[in-house]
Amino acid sequence: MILWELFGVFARIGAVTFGGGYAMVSLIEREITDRMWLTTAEFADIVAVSQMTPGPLALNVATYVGRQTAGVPGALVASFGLAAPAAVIIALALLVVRSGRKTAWIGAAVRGIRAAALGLIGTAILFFLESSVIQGLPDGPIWSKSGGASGPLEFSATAAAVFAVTLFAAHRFKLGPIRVILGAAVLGLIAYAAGLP
Amino acid sequence: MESLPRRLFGLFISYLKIAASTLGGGMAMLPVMEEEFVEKRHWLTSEDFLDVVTLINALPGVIAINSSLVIGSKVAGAAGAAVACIGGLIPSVAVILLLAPLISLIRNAPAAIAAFTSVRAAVAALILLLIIRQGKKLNAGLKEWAFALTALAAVRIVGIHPIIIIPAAGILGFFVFRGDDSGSPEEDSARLNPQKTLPRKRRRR
Repeated sequence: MILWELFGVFARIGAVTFGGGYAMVSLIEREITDRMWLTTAEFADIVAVSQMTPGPLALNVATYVGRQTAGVPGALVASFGLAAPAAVIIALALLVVRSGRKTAWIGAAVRGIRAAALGLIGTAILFFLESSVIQGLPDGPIWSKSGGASGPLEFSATAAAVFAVTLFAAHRFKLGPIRVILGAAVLGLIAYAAGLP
Repeated sequence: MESLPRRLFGLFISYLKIAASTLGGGMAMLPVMEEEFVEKRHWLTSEDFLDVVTLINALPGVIAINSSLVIGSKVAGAAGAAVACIGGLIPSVAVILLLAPLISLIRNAPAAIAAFTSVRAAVAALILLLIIRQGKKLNAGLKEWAFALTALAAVRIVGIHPIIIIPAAGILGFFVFRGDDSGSPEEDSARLNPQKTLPRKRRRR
């Protein structure tokens, strides 16, 4: 049943999200596109939209996917599914914290996890570049079914320029995500109106 | 402290407000929550809040949800956790439910495709900056970046599922970082003075 499946998938995502939603973008993307709940492009769009809306990325994605697959009940079930494992884990963690103090080996393990999470966040950069600047790169696992070239290489000079400009502007002028994203949308529309590829 | 119903209602309203007014979720909410629950309502002491930050940093899960559960349960037990969590979920769920039909309506128009393509390129840039900031915050050295690159390569080139990376990194981290003085000094000072160090990364996720 779709509602149960939505709950299960997002509960699993909620249980392993570590280091913020971006570390999990490729995981969430795989879970969702494998089930044909969203196309890769639609997933990329909702992630971009979630930059401008309140709430964490994973929650925004859960609500949207639930809504698209099973209407409002689906949206609610998916959103609560995301929160459910946290509730259990936190209840347990509060018990542990009350009964003793943090041990050093947990610190070392968490440090390793956080460092690896930086790399997982890096997969999100590739995901977004592939759906904008360069299309048709060999995709992900080299021996998977899509392991070879997934299509003709397509390079978008416009998107590459937008990437470079926003990288510079966001860093140099400390712009928030809303301004950066709206600015990029405007640049895209100008390029479209000017007939640039 | 006020009576239980008042605390429950206050938790609900506070979380509704915080979730609706904070973009980027997670860490961006921490300074706002500190102000609301420690400075304004005096439901938590600074030490309580420090415990909360430490706990939600070390746990899996979405920070925004975790924090509502931990603070809710500290202020008003299990019912408090439930009320705070629901209050925190409502704004973002409502916004996406309202936007969803709009997004699916316009996203196939050629102009919208052009705009969204640019937005995706911009998001890639934002995430790159986020990684650099996070690396600085973790006081990441060679070992940390080696972990990060290995994780990236494991997912992208070898095709290992990200779920497996997390426990593997935990086990490897235990052996690699065990000798180091637990955690980075910067991070510990961030925990001790959340309001001082957090605003720098408030703007963006």
